[in-house]
Amino acid sequence: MVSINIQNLEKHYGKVKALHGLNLEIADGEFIVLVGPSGCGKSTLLRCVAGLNPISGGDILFNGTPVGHLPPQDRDLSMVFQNYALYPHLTVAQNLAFGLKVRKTPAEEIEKRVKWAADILAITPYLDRRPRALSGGQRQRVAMGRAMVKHSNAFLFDEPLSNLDAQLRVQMRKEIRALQQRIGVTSIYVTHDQVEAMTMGDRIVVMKDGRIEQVGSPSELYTAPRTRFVAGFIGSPQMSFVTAQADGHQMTLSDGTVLTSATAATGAVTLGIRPEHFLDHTSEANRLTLDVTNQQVVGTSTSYFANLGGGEIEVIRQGSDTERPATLALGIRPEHIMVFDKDNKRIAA
Amino acid sequence: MTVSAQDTRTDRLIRFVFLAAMLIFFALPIIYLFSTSFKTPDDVLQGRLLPEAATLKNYPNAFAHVPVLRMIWNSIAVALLSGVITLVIAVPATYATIKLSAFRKTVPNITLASYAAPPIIALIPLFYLLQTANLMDSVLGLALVHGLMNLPVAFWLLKSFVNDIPAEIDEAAWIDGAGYWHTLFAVILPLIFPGILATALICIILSYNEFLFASALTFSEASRTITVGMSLFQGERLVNFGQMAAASFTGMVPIYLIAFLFQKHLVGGLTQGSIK
Repeated sequence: MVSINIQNLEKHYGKVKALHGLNLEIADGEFIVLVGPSGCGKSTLLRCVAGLNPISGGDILFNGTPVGHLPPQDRDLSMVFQNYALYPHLTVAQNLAFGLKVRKTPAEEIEKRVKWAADILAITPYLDRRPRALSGGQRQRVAMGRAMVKHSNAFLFDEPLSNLDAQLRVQMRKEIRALQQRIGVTSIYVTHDQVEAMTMGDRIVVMKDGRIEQVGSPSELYTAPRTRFVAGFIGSPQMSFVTAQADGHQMTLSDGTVLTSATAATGAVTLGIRPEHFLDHTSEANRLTLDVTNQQVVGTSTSYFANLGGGEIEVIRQGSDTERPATLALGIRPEHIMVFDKDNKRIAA
Repeated sequence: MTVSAQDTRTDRLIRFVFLAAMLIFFALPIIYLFSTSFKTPDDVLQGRLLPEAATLKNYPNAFAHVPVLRMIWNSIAVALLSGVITLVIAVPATYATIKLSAFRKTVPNITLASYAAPPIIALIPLFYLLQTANLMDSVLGLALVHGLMNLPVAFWLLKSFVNDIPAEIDEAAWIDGAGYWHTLFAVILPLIFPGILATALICIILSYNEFLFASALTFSEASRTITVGMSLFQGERLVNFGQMAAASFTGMVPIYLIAFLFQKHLVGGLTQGSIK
């Protein structure tokens, strides 16, 4: 197991720059999640670490040793692919043993490790089956097993749960995290699903347009996003944004509503409020009564949509409210109003 | 009777008529060849489908006039050997081009262009090359020429099979520590085996039927193939059609047997990639 140090990493495809000089340090045993929208470069970064994409500049170091020039065969990594990439002509046991046989591991040791992984992943009954005879979840486990048996430097996950149904995804999320903690292997996990990122990662790397927007723990990204992009990307449902004119702590919206924020600013700003931070009317400093334009019931909670200051905001409430109210009486605490400057950077309170 | 039942019956009738017409179209030359192999020279001149007085003499006469069996054997040897040569080069070449992106843009175009060029262009250079290599008038020499000649066909057939294997399968093997050759042999070959079989069959058939190079690069009984043997029945003034038909029919048997036994793989090879 290794620490991974990414230094000024660049990747170009012809004239197109996919990664712009990235720097990232991943500690030994850390579970780091790369998250961002499609095309942000997260998979490219993972593939560069794997050696599947040659790098155009900078370097990657494992325990301080540069590996950027090494082919994937020589990096001693394990990778779980989105479509599992199991060898279709081999049985589950042969799939698990493939990497060990390549490394000329003694047969007894191979058998021991395959049994160990199969027991942990509960795939022992399927060892003689071919991948096509397995369900999506079972294939996912085999892919995990193939990664586990090798005792490699690090695990790389490339959106491994995106082909599974929602229920199985939640279960596998927990299993992967538990396994990683049990084995203690350094892991890089790519996903576009911020819920996956929040629930799995020790730290999350939010990427946009081939650049790292912010690196931090899930709670850090949620409570103290550095940019409007991170604030909007992390958190479900998404943060609502409205434009305003700031004068100290007073924020005037385009419809004349004045909100008080814990953050002081001047001039044109964007305010960000998380749907779960709209509270009951009476007890709060900022009081609003808004017309409800739409409503979505999601079982345990209900989302209400309303217009505020020329933009649409989302408000979330516990419980399933089947009748749509005409208006909502809301309150917002000043510390829950995030303020972003014209460059979309958050202004610290 | 329901409308749909009536439709089905009409459909079936149309299909039957169409298939019967196709069968007659393709089978007629073979039936005519078979019939001619039992005709006397007079019968041949009459031009009838069936002989008036059938004779079995064409077969022993043909075999006595030209060493047909030896030539069939040569054809089979050249075809099999050339098939092996083609695959030994084409499989790794296709893998390297398609999966490892080695000359990915140029190789497909070059192979296509070389196949589109008339083969006669290569005849004189090949003649001298074989002479220099001391392979003129030999089964090995002709197999080498056929093997190289069929490379573009093999490349284009294998390409769709290799393309169909997701890149992640190769990548998983590389991450598992397998080198490129190891990946090719342990992972890719078993997966494209149906494609390899189909390609081999097609290349063997192409080699078996080849005439131009066989006629120019072989001239002794030890290496001449059956396609060249056929031309020996053509005298300066007279063509012995009965004997020629007998030899042709005998020469056809091995290749028809191959096509018949492996038709499933052949169809698979030719239609690969046409339906997603």
